[in-house]
Amino acid sequence: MDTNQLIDQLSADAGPVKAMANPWLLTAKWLLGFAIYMAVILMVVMPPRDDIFMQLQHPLFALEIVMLFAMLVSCALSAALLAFPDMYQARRVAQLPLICFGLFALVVGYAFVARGEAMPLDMAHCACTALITAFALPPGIYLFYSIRRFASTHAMMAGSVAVLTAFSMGALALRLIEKTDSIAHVLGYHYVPMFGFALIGMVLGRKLLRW
Amino acid sequence: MAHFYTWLLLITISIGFRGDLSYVNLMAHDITNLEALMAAALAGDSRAYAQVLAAISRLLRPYLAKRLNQQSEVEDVLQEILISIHKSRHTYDGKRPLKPWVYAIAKFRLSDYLRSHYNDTLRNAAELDVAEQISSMDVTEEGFTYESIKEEIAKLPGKQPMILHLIHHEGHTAKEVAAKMNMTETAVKVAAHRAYKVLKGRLAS
Repeated sequence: MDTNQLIDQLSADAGPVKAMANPWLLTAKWLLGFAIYMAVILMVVMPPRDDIFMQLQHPLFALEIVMLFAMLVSCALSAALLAFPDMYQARRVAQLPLICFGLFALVVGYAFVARGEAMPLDMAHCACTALITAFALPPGIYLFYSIRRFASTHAMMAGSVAVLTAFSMGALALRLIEKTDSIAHVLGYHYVPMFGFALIGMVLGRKLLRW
Repeated sequence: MAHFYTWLLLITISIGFRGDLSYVNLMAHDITNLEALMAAALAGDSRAYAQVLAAISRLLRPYLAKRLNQQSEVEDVLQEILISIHKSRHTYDGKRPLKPWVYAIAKFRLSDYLRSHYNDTLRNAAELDVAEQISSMDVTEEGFTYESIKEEIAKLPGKQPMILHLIHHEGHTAKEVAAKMNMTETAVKVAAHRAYKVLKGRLAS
């Protein structure tokens, strides 16, 4: 078919189109949804640890929670931007998770070194990884469904960031629930798997977000 | 005195950059037009949409021509890009420049095309190697002639029976067969190789 014929055909098919929400609004909608979902988890499924307010007075714990929240917000924003073919022309904002990840790694790494704990090797600890995965699954599926409605030109990155968003939320929820002060446990069974799943997210993105 | 120097500086700059500024104005005018057209297109104006797509085609042809060898490839990829733009037009809201959005989609489709093109080329090259090894072998080695396996050949799919007929019955070279059947020489060799593989499997069982 000739290109001019194609143009005629496409323009004849085209009706009015409603533009998708901009990434800032989309991120706000996602975060609101996650907040409700997390509130349901904390109020109905598993209550937060009873010493949460006391723990929040410890600078390292508070910083860890803040950094997890920053990861969640920056990953959600990045996923929303990556859903657009041109990243809504805000490429630098889409790279924010890298900075947050760096700061997060610094905080957790510092806590790990400061406490000098040994990494616990026990399958029982894997329950935490499973729980984070369970928490992350519904928002993760929703994020993929949502991004698929757009037209990402960075499918692998979008998949990875979407998984990281969901797992940041899961890890944040579990950190508020589980009564543990072992940074080695948190590092080995919460955060390392979280970034492992982000790699799986790349593969999923490649498979599911192509158009 | 300070005012004098400021004015002098401003006049010098404006004279120095007059050519460039007119270019910038032209670009801005062009962009605004495209965006206005796209906004009308998204509102359902099919004439505006046709104009946008035509303008995008004019914009992308030189971009693609620089990156692809043949004109037919340029038109193929351009059409894929236009279809992608059509499918993803709901991701453009008119609040940002149109060109970066268009180029992002164009780049994405072009890399897709190049990836599959080079994958095909590599696959064909590998199959061609095997095909050349097979065609250089003695065909009577296993006691088969074209006539003795004619019925099996007729069962092959697509153009394969005709290719084998022309090569082994009429004695044409792959190049001649390619010319006769309006195919490339590589495609003929690959089709013949696939046919040999199928026949080998059938005759061995």
